[in-house]
Amino acid sequence: MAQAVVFWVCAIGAVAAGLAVFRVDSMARATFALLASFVLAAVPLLLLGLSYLGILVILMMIMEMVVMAVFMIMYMMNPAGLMPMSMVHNKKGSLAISTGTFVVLAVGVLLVDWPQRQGVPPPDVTFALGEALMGSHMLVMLVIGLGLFATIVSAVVLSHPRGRYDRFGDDLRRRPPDDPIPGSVDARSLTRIFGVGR
Amino acid sequence: MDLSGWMRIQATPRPLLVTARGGGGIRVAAERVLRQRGWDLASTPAEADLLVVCGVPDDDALAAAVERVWSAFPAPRARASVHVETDVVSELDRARVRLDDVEWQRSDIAARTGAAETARAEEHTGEHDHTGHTTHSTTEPACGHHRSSDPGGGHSMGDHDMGGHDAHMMHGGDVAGLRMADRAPDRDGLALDQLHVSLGPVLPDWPAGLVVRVALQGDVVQSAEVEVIGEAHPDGSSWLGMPAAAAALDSMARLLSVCGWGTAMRSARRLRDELLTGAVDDAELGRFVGRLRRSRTLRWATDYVGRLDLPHSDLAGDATQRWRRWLDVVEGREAGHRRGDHAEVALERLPGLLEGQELAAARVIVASLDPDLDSVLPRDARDRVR
Amino acid sequence: MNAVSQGPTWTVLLVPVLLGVLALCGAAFARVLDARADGRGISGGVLAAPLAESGRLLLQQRRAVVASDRLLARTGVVLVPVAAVLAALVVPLGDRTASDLSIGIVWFNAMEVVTWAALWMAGWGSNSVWGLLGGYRFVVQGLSYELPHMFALITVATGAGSLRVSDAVAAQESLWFVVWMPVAFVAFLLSALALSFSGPFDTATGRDIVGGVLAEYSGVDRLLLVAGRWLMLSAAAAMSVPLFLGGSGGPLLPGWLWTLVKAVAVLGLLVWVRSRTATLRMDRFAEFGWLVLIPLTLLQALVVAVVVVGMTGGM
Repeated sequence: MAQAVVFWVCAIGAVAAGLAVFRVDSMARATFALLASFVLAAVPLLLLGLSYLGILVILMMIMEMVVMAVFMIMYMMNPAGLMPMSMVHNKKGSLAISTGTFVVLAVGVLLVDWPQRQGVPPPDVTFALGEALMGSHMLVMLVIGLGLFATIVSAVVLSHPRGRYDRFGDDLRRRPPDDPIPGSVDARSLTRIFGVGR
Repeated sequence: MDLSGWMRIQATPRPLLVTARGGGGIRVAAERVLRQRGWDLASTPAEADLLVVCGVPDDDALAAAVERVWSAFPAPRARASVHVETDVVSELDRARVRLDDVEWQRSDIAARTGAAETARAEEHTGEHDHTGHTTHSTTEPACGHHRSSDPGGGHSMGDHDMGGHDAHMMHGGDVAGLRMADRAPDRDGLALDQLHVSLGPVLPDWPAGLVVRVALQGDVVQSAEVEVIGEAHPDGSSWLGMPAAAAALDSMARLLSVCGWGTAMRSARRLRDELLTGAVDDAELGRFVGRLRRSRTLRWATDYVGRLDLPHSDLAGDATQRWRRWLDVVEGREAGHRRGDHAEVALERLPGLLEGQELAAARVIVASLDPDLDSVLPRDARDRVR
Repeated sequence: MNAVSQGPTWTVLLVPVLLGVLALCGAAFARVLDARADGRGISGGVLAAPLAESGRLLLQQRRAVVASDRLLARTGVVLVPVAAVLAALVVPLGDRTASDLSIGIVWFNAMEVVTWAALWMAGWGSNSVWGLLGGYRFVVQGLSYELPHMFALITVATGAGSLRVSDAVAAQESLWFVVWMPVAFVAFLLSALALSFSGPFDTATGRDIVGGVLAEYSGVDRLLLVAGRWLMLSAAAAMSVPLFLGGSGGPLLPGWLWTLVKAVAVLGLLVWVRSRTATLRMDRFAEFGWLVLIPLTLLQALVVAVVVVGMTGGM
C-alpha cells in the first residue's frame, strides 16, 4: 500500500515536474524542474529494491544538472533570471516529437507481452550488479570507459588554443612557462626542478 | 523581561563599517573598540544591525551610497556617525542603546514601511507592471526599489547613481529597474554575457573613496574604470601621524581579510593596536610575521598576482613581494610602505592590472596596492585615469 | 567491539539533536580561536556566542531583493541543513545506527551533493551578483575535490568489501583504515571542509565577494545557511569516524563515547586548520586537485585493491 502511494506520488510528480520544464520562464527554474523530474523518476528504482542504482541516479543527476547550471551562468549572467524567457524552441516540432515518443512508449507498455518472473532476485543486488559489470561484461565496460575518456581528452586537446610550444617556447626550454595566469602547479614544480625563476 | 528582549541583549551587535576619505584614523580606533568588545565586523548589510560611518561623507556620491546601504539594513538597526576619534566609544554606546530600544525600532519599521508603500505607489503610476514588482512586500521593506543589498552597490548601480529616480524608467534592457547583462567577447573570444558591477565605495576591506566599475563575465573582470569619490583632505592623510609599522599592519590585515584568513586578520589588527599604544610584545610580533612568511596558502593566494614592473617603487613586483615588504616595514627593516606618489601610480596602473583577472585576484590586487587616497585630488586622479 | 546494528526508529530523531550539539561545539571552538586572536579573554560569553548569534538572527527581519527568485532561494536555504542531517543518518553512534543502509557510503555522498544544488539555488535565487558568484564558485570548486572525495570513499568501500557503513566499521577491528589509507583520509578531510564551504575552501562565502551566497540573506534564512554549514562540517567529521577511525573501537570507555570523542577530535582538527589557512584560490586548487590529489587517491585505491585481492587470494 505504502509502496503504491509512493510510486504514484513520484510518477505524477515526475510528469508534472517534466511539464513544468516547459512552463516556467526562467532557465534556472527549468533546470531544477528537470532535476526534480529525474530525482522523482529515480525513486521507483529504490522501490524495486535497487538501492544502489537509485541513489546513484540521484547523485549523478544532481551533479550533472548543477554542472549544467554553471555553463548557464556563462551564457546568461542575470541572477534570478530577471528576464522572463521561453524555454521552448521549435514549439510545433518538439511537441510532435514528444507526443509521438510518449504514444509509442505507452502503446509499447500496454501491448508487449511481458514475461513472467522466473527465479528470485539475488540477496544482494548491488553485489550481483558489480559481478555482472566486472565479470562477463568487463570487456565492454572497459572499452566504453576508455572510449569516452579518450573522446573527452581529445576534444579538450583539439579545442584548446594553446599548446606546450606556446608555453615553453619553440625549443620547449622556456622556464617558467608563459601562461596567461602564471603560477600553475606544473610550472612551479618545473621551475623548482630546473632551479630557475624567482 | 520577555524572551525576545532577553535574546537581544545576549547577542553582540554586528557592525558594518563605512569609511569616508580621511576617516582612516577613526576606522582604526573603531576597529580597536569593536575588537575588544567582541563585536564581529559584518561584510554585508543583510548580516549587520549597526552602521558605523567613520569620517564625514562629504560627497554626494558617498552620502547616497551610505543611505542606500542604510536602507538595505534589516530591522532592528541603528547607526553611528563618528567624526572624531574620541567619539568612538560614546557613539557606539549610543547606537547600542538604540538597537535595544524597542520603541525606537518599532517607529523605524513603521516609517520604513510607509516609505516603501509611497515608493510603490509612485512606481505604479508609471504603468509597467513587471514580474519583479510583485516581489515587493510590506513585510520586507528592506528591498526598496534599488539593488539595495550589496554594499558595493551591486550590479547596475552605476547608472542608478547618476539617474536618481529615473532608474524606474524601463530603458533598454532593464527589468524591475535593474540593468540586464549584456554581451561581449570573453578572453577566449566567445561571446558571453557580462554584468556591470561597481566595486566600492562601500565594500569591506576596500580603500576609502575608491570606486572601480567593472564588467564581469563569470567572475572574470573584462574591463575596469577607476574613480575616486569624496573630498580630498588638504591637511594631509589620516595616516600621517601613525607609525609606519602600524600602517603596514593595517594594510596587511585587509589583505589577510580579502584572502580569507580571518584569524590572522584579527591578530594583525590586535598587533597594530598594540603598536599604537606601545604595548606590543616584540617576540609575539616576530612570531606572527614569521607565520605569515611561512604560510603556503597565503602565497598561493598572492603569488604572481598583479605584477608591476616599477623598479625602486613600493609597488614593484607581485602581491607577494608587496606584502613581504610590508612585513619588512613591520619589523623595522624598511621605512614605510606608502612613499612618494604611491597612490597616484596605483590608480593609474589599476585598470590595466585588473583586466582579465578573476574577481578574487582583482580584490587581492587592490588590497596589495592599498593606496592611501586621503590626499589624492579627485579631479586630478579622474582626469589622469581617463 | 560489538558489530554495528540498526537502532530503533526513534533514533532517527536523535540524529539532528546530536549533530546540532556537535555543530555548536565546533562553532564555539571557532569562536574561542577568534577570541584568542583578538586578544580577548575566553569567557562563557565567547562559548555561548554561537547560540547568542542564532538568537539574534531569529529576531532579525527577513529581507529579499527585488525580483529575487524566492522559490529557488527558499528551497536552497532549507535544503542545506536538511542535506547535512540526512547525510548524518548513516553514521553509527557506538554499536547503533539510525539507518544501516546497504549503500550507506553512496547515500552519504549523494546527500552531500545535494548541497551543491542547494547552495547554487540559494546564490542564484537571491538576485545579487555576489550570490550568483558564490553559487558559481561553489560548484566550480566542487569539480576539483569531488573526484578525490569519491575515490576516498571507494577506497574505504574496497577495503571493507561493502558499501554498508557497519561493514566498514567491522573491517577495521584489527587495523584502522586511517593507518593504511592515509591519503584517502586526508582527501576526505579536505573535501569535508570543502563541501561545508568552510576553512580554506570558503570561496563561495568569501569576504572578497561580500559573503557570496550569504550576501543577501538575513534573519532566519541566514541562520539556516550558517547552521547548515556547521551541520555539514560536523556530519563529515562524524562520518570520518566509522570510515577511517575504527568506529566505536577503543579501550575502557563505552563505544558511543569513543565515537563522540573521535568525532569531536576530528571536528576540532578541521576548525583548527580553518584558522591557520588563507582561502585557496579556485584556479590553483583546481590544478592541485586534478594534478596531485586525483593521481594520489587513485594510487591509494590501487594499493588497497591489490592488498584486498592478495588477502582474499585473488577471489
